Amino acid sequence: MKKLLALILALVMALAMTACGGNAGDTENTGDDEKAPAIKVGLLLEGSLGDESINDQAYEGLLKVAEDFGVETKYVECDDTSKYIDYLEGLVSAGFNVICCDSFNQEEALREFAPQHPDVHFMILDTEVSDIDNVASFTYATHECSYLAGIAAAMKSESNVIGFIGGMQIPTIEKFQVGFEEGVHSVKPDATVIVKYIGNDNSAWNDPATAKTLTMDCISNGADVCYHAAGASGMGMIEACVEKGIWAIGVNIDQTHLAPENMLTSALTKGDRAVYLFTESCVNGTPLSGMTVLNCANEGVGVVESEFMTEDIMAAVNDAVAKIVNGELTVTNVMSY
Amino acid sequence: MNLVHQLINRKSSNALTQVLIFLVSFLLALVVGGILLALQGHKDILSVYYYLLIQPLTTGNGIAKVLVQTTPLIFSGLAVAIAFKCDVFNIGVEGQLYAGALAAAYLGYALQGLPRLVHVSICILGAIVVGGLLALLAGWLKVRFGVHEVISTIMMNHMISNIVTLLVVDYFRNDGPTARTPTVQDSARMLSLSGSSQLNSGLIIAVLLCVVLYIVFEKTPFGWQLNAAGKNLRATTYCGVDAKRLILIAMLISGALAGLLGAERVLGGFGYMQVNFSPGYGYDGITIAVIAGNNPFGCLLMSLLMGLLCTGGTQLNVMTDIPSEWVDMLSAFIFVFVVAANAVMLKLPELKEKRLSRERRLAK
Repeated sequence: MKKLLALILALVMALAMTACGGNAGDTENTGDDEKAPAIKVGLLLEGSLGDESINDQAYEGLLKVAEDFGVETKYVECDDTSKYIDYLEGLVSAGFNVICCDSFNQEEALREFAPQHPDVHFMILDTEVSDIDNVASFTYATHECSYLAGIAAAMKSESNVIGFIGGMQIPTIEKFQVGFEEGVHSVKPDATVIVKYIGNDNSAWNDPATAKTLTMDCISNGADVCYHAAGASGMGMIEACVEKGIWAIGVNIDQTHLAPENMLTSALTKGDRAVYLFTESCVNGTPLSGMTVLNCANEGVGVVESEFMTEDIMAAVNDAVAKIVNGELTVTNVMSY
Repeated sequence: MNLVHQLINRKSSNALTQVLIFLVSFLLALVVGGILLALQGHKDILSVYYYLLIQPLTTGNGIAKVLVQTTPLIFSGLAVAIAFKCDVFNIGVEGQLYAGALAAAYLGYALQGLPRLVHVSICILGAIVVGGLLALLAGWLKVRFGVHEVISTIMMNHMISNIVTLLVVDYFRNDGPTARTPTVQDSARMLSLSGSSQLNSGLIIAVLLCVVLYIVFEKTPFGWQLNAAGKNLRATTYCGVDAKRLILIAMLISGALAGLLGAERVLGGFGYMQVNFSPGYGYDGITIAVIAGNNPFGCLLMSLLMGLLCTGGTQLNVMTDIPSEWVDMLSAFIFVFVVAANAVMLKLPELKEKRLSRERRLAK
């Protein structure tokens, strides 16, 4: 047995030696020199379609792109982080020259891959990449859609008490909170917004039980509309709202299907719009690069016009959108300094 | 002994039969996969198989990609095979490889200023020790308390991968959007074998290990004991072999190989450890070891095929509308056919015996 162990040890050492030569990696340039004539749009998904979240949303954008610009499109589903680059390479070698990445988890791969293919245009959602010429990144003006949600909440509320459930108290979420509060107070200056945060660590994003307790607390204090920015924990808030029969406001995507009877609206961050805007810029020959904020002005954020959004609410929302767009109204962005 | 045990430790002496069984199963899987595609309305089945099986091998870059996918699978196949050899199921490779990867990544970025040889050795050793000890724990639970290793290793997979994720996210996290450790020092990187892909000297280690394990299995007393224990653990004990020790050693080596897999991914592949980086290497290893009949060279060939399917699957996904799940299904078909064929082969003498005895009875 000792012999065997010794053998293995010796082997490891020997192999480590082979592992220790100079790294003479010649970087091979796979970029094509010829100009690709037509625009072909590829979409790299994180995971699969049918997630009723970012993937489906981005795919919607891709469908719209194919319809409006008549370009060839293709989506690939990748659930293996080590293969993002392989998929990107596959798309590029298949002639796709506009490539959309729908998740911030793909940033690492994109940062490595994009500089090697200067003639291909890339975009990535929900993260900030500003230092690569052929990469555009999109972030969301979440304070603006939260403001719109706040208007809807205030107009629908009868008790003038409104709940906000946040995941972790970090600037990203405070941006939702402050925008929402401003929206509420723009309609009813003396309305109360009860603000509750779930926790101080990453578990806060996946803790529906605590979210539910906190929501119940808001409701017992009179809240009759609740809004959340708490990831998967938001399910708990929606559950509480359904149980107590009050209004819920969803976030990021249209969450109506989670509570068809109680979902007043959802504050949307439209990834599909990013795919559309980016492709449009490439079709026009002026590809976006650097950071772009998706906001009211470029219709990158908004609220769902559900059956519960009465005419006067929609009028107020549209009015606010118009004012934000023409600069009459500025919603406080806690992260803009 | 029940059929499962006979299946994972079937006599590998008749290599030709096994190769034939595999080839027939492979072709059968292609046919069934093709029929399924045809039913879905795909017309050009041949071009599907071209993208899946041929196209990746037409370019140097493609071959490098296949080998990148192959490398971890070899480690994983060998890790499962050596445990199978002595009739123990190490389902815990998936967890052990994460632990090994984290150990390698931590040693890789925390230690500084070491010469490359020493640094890489330390990282690999760290990964091997951590992986090996975790598997040894499951082995010890088995020999000491009779806890079945399938249960304990599956449980430990969940525990270890969650603990590793926790450690990475809360203690060893690199600044940035991805939950991963900082990049390891240059002195901890394994030698890259191709500039544009992750191919690295880990492949050489893996192939050498196949040779070494083959020699150990076939030419050493330890290999003989393992073989005997695999065929019949109890009988081996009566022959004077310390079966408990054998199980512990087999688990230790199995875990060490899993740790090595993690180290290869970190030091050779990514350069850092990202949470949940494994697409299920540990479970693929079970498929590989069973199809290969625990033969190290069989594992090597099977890993090459799985690596090809994996790379070709990406290509297929990009070039056609066929999802990569179809490729997973294909390898599952191969697995099922190989196992079924072997089960029939194992049962055949028994059935023949039954028929003979019935005929004899009738004759009387």
